[in-house]
Amino acid sequence: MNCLETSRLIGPFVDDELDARSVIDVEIHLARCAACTEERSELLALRETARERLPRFDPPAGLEERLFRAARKPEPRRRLPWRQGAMVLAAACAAVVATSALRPHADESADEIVDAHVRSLQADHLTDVVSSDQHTVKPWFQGRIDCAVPVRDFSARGFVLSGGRLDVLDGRPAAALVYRRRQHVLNLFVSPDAPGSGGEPRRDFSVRGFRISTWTQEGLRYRLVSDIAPSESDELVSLLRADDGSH
Amino acid sequence: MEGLAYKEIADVASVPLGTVMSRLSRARAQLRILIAGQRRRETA
Repeated sequence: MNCLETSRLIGPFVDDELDARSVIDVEIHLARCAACTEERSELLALRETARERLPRFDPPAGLEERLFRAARKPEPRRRLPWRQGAMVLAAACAAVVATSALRPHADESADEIVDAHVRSLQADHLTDVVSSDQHTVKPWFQGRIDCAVPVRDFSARGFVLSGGRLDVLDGRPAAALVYRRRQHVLNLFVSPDAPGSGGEPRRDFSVRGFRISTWTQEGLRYRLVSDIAPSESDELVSLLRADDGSH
Repeated sequence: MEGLAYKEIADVASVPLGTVMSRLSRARAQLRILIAGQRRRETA
């Protein structure tokens, strides 16, 4: 094993995620390479710094349990550092634990939708795939969410598709399509409808100055949130709900 | 920091394991750049 290979594996090595054979190979290389040993020390120092200095969020009671119960295996695992504010992965989990207190009903609250929208406006959290081309954005979601996300650009009507990202709402993955209307950002969250829910009628409401529209269509739940005027938001909702078969 | 294994992160965030690993790798690199820059500013 040389320095190039070690450099690739040093992250999982420090996180105890390597198989036994690779661990031995890396340790043999570290024993005779000062540079890679230095890199290992830096990574350990980075983990300590991250644990001490990166901001933490307190999840609302019950949310963390519900979310981690689905992921955690019964056998004990070693500790793993992974948090990084600039990465969508960390942002997705941080978004979940940073969600404001959920109301005790089954659907996510309007507050959570607004919070997800506002959080996305922070630098680097808006889009993971940047394109106005539906043929680029739509395939990006395959394998990332278990539904086919209909993606359409409405530039001709003043709603420009900026791109997409994966977000989390109500503890479940949601595709986020980002539209721009003049200087304003609109987030359209799309996720699979809960089986047997029977769909829901369209609802429009305003929360803290943000306009939210929600509806169900062809087995998918839609939630549009933005700070544009209700009449303009309604225009995009009409475009989205129109069954013109163009996609 | 939350004690999750790579596989658990992949499950929670609904992304493939490879994506978790590549994003962690980029995250570490970016964090190191940010911290190095911060250190330079603090000692300047």
